Amino acid sequence: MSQSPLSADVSPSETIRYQQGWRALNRLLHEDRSFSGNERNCAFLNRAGKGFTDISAISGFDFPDDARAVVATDWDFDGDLDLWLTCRTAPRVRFLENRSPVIPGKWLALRLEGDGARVSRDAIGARVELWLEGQTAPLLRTVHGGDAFLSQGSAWLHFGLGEKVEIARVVVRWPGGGIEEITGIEPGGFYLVAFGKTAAVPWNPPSQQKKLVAAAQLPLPDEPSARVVLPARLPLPKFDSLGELKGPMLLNLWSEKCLSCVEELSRWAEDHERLKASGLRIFTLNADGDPQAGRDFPFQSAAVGPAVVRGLDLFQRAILDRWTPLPVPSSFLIDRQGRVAVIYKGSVGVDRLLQDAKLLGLDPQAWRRAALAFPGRFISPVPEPQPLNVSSQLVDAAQPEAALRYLEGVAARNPVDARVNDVIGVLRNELARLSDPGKVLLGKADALRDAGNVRDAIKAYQETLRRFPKTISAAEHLAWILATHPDPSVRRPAEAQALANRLVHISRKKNPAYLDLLAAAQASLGEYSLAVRSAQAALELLDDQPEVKKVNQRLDLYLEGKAYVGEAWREE
Amino acid sequence: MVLLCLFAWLFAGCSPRGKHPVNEVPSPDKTVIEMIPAPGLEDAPVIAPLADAWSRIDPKEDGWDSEALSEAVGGKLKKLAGMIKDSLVTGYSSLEELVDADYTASPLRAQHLKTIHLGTTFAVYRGMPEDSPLDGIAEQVRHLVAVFNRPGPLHVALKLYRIRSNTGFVSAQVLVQVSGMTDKGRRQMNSEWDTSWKVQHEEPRLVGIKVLSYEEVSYFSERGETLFVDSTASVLGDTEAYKKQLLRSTDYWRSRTARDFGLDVVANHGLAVGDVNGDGLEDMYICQQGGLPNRLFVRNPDGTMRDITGKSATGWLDYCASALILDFDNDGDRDLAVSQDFKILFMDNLGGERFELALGQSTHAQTFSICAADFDLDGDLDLFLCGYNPAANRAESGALGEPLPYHDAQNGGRNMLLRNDGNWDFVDVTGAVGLDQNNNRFSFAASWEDYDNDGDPDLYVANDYGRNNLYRNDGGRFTDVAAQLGIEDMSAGMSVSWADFNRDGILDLYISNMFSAAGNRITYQRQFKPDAGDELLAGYRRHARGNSLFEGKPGGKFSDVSLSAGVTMGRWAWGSRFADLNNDGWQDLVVANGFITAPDTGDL
Repeated sequence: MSQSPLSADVSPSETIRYQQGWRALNRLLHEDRSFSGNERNCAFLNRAGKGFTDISAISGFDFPDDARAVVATDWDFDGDLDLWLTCRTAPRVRFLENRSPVIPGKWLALRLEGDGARVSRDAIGARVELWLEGQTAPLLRTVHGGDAFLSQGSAWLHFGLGEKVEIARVVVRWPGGGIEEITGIEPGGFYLVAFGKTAAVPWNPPSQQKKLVAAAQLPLPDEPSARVVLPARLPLPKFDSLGELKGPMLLNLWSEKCLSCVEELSRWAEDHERLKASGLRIFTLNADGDPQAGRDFPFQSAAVGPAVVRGLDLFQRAILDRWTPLPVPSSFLIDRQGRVAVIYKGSVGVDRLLQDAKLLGLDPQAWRRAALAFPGRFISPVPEPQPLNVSSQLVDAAQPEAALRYLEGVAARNPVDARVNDVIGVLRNELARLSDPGKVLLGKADALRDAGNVRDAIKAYQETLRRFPKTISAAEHLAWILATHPDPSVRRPAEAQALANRLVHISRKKNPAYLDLLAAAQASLGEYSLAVRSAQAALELLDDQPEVKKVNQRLDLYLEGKAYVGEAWREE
Repeated sequence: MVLLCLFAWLFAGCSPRGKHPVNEVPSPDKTVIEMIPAPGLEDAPVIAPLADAWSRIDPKEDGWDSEALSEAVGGKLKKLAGMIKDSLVTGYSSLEELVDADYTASPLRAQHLKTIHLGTTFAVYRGMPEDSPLDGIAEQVRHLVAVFNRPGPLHVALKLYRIRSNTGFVSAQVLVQVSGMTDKGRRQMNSEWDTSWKVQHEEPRLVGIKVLSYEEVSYFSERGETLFVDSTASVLGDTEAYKKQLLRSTDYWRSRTARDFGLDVVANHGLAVGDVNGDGLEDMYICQQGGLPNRLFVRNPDGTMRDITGKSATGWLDYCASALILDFDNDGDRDLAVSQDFKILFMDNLGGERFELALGQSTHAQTFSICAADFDLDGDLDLFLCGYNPAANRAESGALGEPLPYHDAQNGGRNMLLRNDGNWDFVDVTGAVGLDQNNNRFSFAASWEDYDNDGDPDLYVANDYGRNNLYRNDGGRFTDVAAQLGIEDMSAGMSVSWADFNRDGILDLYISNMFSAAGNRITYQRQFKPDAGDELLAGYRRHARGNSLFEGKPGGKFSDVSLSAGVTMGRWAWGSRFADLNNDGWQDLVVANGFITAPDTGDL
């Protein structure tokens, strides 16, 4: 975060660098890195308006949770405020009972009700002024309909009253409904106050309260094994050594070093008649790369190396929000279309497998419902498959070719996804650029230019042209700088003109961009009539509106006998 | 854009990932079969630019001496805290290993304390330790913990927040909290130390501790209890949802539920308390991650709860952040509003613990807190929704969004005000009422309050990554007056709560931000953003300062009393609110905090 641009108006390269930082930070969070973790909740005691004192520890509020929302409510009706919290960590909810010694008459709770016409039923926005004898200002409480963070607290307005107090008067300011003084309120009780009625009505809480018992909540231990159902199925990356993977098939990754792997395969082997009868084909992949391994089991088997293991690992990371290494054993249930429907991290039993294989033909809605452990309802539609999550993992793992191949495979099945096609285009271009060393050098020169380091950029363009003379974009970018850079000490118009002339010549005067460049170089030399002619020639070739506008603007300058100085060389 | 920059980094070359070993699969319980990462994953490569970006967000790899030093000193402080904690049991002799031969000891606890606050439940004392020599660190610590004269565990927390170095010497300021039991109940020491260290061969040794401030607070409890105890199981323990869903962490669900269902690591899920069945007892609705159904628990008369999620048809499986239990149609029973990522759902209470979806509306932004008020004073409840990430970039920018610039982001999602026109007709009037002013921030929370006492509710909005808003309501038209009143609170706003903390009859404002110890350490270093001007640097420091308290003043003005009131240190704060915890008539504060706790050791 230290690297954030200083203002929103920054150069593209600085923004990209900053976005890289964010992306990396996001990645760390996916990968189980702690970030301001193990922090204890804080509580502060109000010292009668003269400041606050930290009571986090002695209040017992200082749980080391990743806590989120907090509300206060007198849950047990004993006259003090208890708390409910939600947490990111387990337990994800806490009820904290207030055990402070409650002295009768030291508190008061009011619940307000509107008429549903002038004042909303819940009386949101109504404010109670509780005047105590001998005080110059009242205690204030307002009815909120949600406040703080992601929370709605109790509708009861709770007042602590302190020592030896008497209530002088209670005034309610109803939103848009005037001011009423309420009668009949004594300390130490619950009262209902209705809009339009001046007398408060005492309210009695239920008498039978289950005794609350303080007990540490014991979160259940994490379980490394998991069954992950894909609501939107995706194919695995293609592994040449494994051929076409079409289901119903279970692809199993195992290692001889792992006892539970061998146990799992043995159990499946015992039941292999039942598996066979179901039509589910089992294909075991030995991650130790041992071709002899797995021969004892009645399943198709192959030995695989790190490339396949990594491919499977990256695939499961694309499916989940939490990225942990793929364990052995792991299995992938693949449907008839060759798409992964379920990932099993850890062992899976035959019954479960057969049951899941039977569900493969469900319609997407029913499949999504079957994917989850608990019933409920959805407002959002069944999600679309996200192949870009897979390609993004592959790119981050320095496998751009695999990413491209993956997306091309997806596009062959579903050619209409525009986002996939966009990324395929970007990947193809970048890979082509990578395979051309001249373009790599050009990219570095462009990066220097975009970072504002124009003198080093000029050297880099010259170096590019010297080593790879066919990199004509280098000549073009260089000529723009030399012709039009705002700093006169950078400009070398004669050189720019020579470069531009050469580009125009190579393109047989058919490229309007080069003619536009030549015009700029000529104007920079003071040859305005030549510049006008070149610009007009460019315009004759142009039919693209935005370009026409820019060239016309420059032409106007030349007609006035002025050179163009500006930022055109920054544009791509 | 994100995709483009992804490729921009890709082509600087590749490098092995040696520094970031593959995480172990966590298995805290030995009875669980341990699984090993698949062979071949040990040294998976990662593209170089990504590794570079990683190193840049880890400040100690950015060439900042302070972070490397604070890690070394922090390690020693952690040891010291552990030794103080165990001292009543194991003695004091091991302390010597932390100190230099030149170590000089003086009292860490004030002998003469002045009572600055005395109530029936709490008392606060202050003083300064005498400057008299003690015989070494062992005696010093024995002297410190002597006050805990009742057997029981000590709690010790030392947090390093500022560090300076000078060839071979380091000075580190530390927040100190020590608590334990006494014959009167519980006692907590709050202190600040300036610790001095001699560094030889990268090994810091303590040469002295100077006490900068000292305070003690007593909680009177004959049983020696804390004020709060966890009684969750008494209330929820019999419900299946508690046992099977809520006792599991977000990370547990994130490792077995496809991300397509809508899960993220930050897990901002809230709760609402309100009476849904009209029995006078308040019930509770809890929001959960995508793939886990929200829960509606109804309170039984005896204080326990029963789960009516299925019957009530309120178990939304989509990602839901927050909810409200309020009577939106003024028919006498309370309905439900649920913020579901990019939608707001209104569910009509049909009676008999049944609900029906009355309206689902798109919000164009990831919606976090929602809060209701009758802003136009027509007798029904309108709803304000906090928009965080714009919908368009959520998928690519991840859970944190992509704020630009970080400290004053103006590319956040749009907030919305929905006017209730009756019959479940809610109209987006955001622009029409003037709430589109500065409506481009990452809004987390908001709270309505008539701060100017003119009879209509005004609205404060807490925004992440920058400035907050106070929209003054003048007869249904809003104007953002936060800048004018000096309460933009440019920081990482996450929560807002109103109350009159000093009982002068004028409402005050408390806002959650982050107190980042690392942020404090780094932004005070010279190396920090050498190009930045003083004003910007002050802004960055402000960003890491922590929570804010603005005292309301006559005439609708505010004064920033955060530091003098001593309420900034709420750590990485989320929900915070005023509540009179001890019934003394003065509103105290609770702050829920902590960002991401993971099993790894190196906390960012």
